[in-house]
Amino acid sequence: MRKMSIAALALVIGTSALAGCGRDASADVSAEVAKIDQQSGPAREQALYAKAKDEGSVTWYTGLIPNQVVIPIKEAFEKKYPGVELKYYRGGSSEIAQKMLLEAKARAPKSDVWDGAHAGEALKGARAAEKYDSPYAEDYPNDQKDPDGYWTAVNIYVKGIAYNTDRVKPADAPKTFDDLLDPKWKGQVAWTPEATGGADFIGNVLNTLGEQQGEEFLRKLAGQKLKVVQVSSRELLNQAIAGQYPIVLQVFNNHVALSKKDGAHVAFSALNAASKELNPLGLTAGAAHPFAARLLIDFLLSPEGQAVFRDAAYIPASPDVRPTDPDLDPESGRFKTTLLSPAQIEKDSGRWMDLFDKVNAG
Amino acid sequence: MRTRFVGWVVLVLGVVLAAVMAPILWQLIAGSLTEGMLVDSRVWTLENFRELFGDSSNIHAAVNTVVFAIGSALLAILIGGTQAWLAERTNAPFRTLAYLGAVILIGTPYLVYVISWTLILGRNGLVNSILGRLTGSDNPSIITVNSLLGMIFIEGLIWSPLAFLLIVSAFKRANPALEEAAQMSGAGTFTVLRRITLPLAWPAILAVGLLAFVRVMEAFEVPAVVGLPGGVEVVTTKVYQTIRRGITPDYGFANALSVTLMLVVGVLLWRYNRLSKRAERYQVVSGEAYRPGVMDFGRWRYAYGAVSVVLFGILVALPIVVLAWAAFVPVFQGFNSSMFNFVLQNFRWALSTPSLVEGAMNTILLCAIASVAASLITCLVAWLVVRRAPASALLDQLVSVPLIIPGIVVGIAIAQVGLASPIPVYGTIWILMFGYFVTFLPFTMRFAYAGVIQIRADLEEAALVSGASRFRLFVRVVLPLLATSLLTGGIFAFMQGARALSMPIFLASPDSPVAAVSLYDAFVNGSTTQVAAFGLLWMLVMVTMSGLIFAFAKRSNVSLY
Repeated sequence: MRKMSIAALALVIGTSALAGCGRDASADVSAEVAKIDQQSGPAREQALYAKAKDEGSVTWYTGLIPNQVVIPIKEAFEKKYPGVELKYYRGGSSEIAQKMLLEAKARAPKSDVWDGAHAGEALKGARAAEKYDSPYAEDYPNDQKDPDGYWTAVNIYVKGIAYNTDRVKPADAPKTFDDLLDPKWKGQVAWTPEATGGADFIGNVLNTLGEQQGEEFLRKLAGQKLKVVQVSSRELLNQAIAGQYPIVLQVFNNHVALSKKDGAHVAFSALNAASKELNPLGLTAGAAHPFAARLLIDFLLSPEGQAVFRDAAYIPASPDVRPTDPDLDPESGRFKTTLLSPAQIEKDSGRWMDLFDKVNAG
Repeated sequence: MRTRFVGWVVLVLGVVLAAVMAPILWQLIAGSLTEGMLVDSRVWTLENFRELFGDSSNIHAAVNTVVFAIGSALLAILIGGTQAWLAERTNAPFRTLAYLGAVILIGTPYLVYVISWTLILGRNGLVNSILGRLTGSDNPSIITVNSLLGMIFIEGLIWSPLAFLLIVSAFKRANPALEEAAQMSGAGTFTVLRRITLPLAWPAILAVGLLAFVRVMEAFEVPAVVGLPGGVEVVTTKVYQTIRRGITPDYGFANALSVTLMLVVGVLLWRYNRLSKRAERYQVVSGEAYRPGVMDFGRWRYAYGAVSVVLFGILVALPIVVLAWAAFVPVFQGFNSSMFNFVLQNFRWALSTPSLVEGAMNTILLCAIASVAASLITCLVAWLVVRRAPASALLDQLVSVPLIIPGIVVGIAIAQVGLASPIPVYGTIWILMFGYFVTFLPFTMRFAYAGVIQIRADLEEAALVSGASRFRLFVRVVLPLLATSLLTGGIFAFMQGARALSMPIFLASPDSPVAAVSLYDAFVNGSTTQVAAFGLLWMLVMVTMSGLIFAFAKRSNVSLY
């Protein structure tokens, strides 16, 4: 028993000593960061890299799909900055926001950098995110970054419906929201209970059709007995490709394009208007690796990092780097989009969730 | 046993155990009476319970839970009972396959087993691809596993080894002379079964059914992997969804749900204890000539042997073969042109994924340390309880508290304890270790208790008379005699911890992964074949452990359940 209490005492003293060091260090960090923020170009990069190498690694909580884009980013980043390991954790964007919120509450942040369509405003509001200055963010349009400097969109998501072309004939393919109400699709349409899935679909319907007409549509949609599938939207698309569900809602246009390239029998439709969402990228408050975190953010927002998104068939946020396939690009004018801004998501997502439950209750 | 030394030991143990259990119970109970996140607002309210009983979807989940638990318990008893009868009461060939099956299944991580069954019954699974071939339909899911029925089927299989082992021990207690007498008086096989064997084993079977019912109510893996994708919610997945949904977790409501579930589990387990005590009273006093007698089926015994083989095939061989098959193909789609296109890429991926490899290492390390700690503490408690030290009954109660807390609830409670703690433990490996330690206590206690009871008090008296102190007596006499029981209990707790997903799912973090949670994440993200590859390797490790523990249990004369 005595040994155990000594060990416990040592643990308590050890952790409080560590916490003490952390406090002193954070003052040093902000002074150092202020110095680096005054520099630009290669001098800033070199200064950040030198510090980042001492830190050795950076942890990124991301909603992006690992084998499509995170791993290519990891490879490019580690090749450019040897000695700084990029560790990542993938989760749905509200899952990431929740994880960070709880870690902040426990004063033990594990991430350094985060992204997620539903994370930006929530983390800013809960002070789990920290302001940062990236020289690359200046080139981004104002509606793609936080006016207070807590986040910058790193890529753009375009979401619509996808259908299995073996199960849905081209002539039958839904072209408007109303086409989803056709009796032949009863029980054939699936969506996910993730905030970025079903709830965002509802947000897009209300934005596009207007509140009144939108709610009217949702009432009719409830009669269609939609299937709720508890998976990521990437996996929901896989299930449509496998033929489990002929039509799936609120999946990413670039995921459909990637699968088509691999020979999958699947097609995308924007219906009345696809939803366009930003993927905010930010710094974690109290990050353990503040310099490596800034180095990664700079890299992701730089033309070089944006090119990795482009080459992975994602839609870069930088106005200077456009997708190779204009069919993916909301700026190409080939399809209509409605913006779900981070501010609106923060404000209305809860209501959309409730509507989602209502539609499923029938 | 009233010395100062013993008094101090009881006091220290009591304080330590209370310090472990009190915050957990406080977070759950006080948390259920406050709204939102953590017990810091201190505005007491019954709103969570009003929401709980006022929302029809909660009632629906409760009804699903009961149907799920009854169905699974019945199936488990049907399978386990058949196996037990064949193994203990007949001379049918292959009847001992059931023992091999139990060793393998008790080692298999729940999640791996469930995933393997989704490969068999799920969309694009084996059965659907065969049915599609036969009927020429292009619908890839003629049968749907993501339903209450599918859940019952898989969960029933999972608990059948438990039913088998418990019913076997009930059969062993009964005197076969009664059956022989009936047989000699001209009763047929089924008459004996119906009139003699079953009535004698009935209280035991009822007790097993109740235990399985409770365990299924607490189950999380099957509801999460099979139920959620089909929109079938039970109470444990409802708790999970309550936390996961939205950004700020609604701990208040999750706590209310958890406390309600705990109450039900507590009452049922109390009934179980009374039932199983009564079952022991049905023991037939057997004389000197006791020997296991068996029923001779004559030529029919091969037909009964076939039943054993088929059950083993469904329970063990089929899921393992399909899991291995999926592990070696790039995309698993049942029967199709590329079904024998074997590759090693899944294993390469699995072994190069840090969260899985690190997760496996962490699981082994954490469960090993936690089981050693739990074994040491509970062996002290067991010794004090058996030797009737003052206030030791209270210690017994304290280590038994986790029995009534379902794994997912332990996880949520400890997450809240961690979040409220002034020391930053949330998201670290320490909080996981704490979680395993707490859940292991009742298991290691059982084995330690069974061990201490076998030590004769006069051995200890001899040591005391020879001048040994109580401390010396415990270390030099009691501990060595308990070694095998402790080892068995330790490994058993280790396995229970390592195979479960529910406790660590809210405690593991990207920084401190454990195998079960990393596997679940990979499964949800759609890497099915890679999950199969890792699951296969992980299962091999665990089944080896399971083999070890059965061997030890035999040596230490302790029954596993």
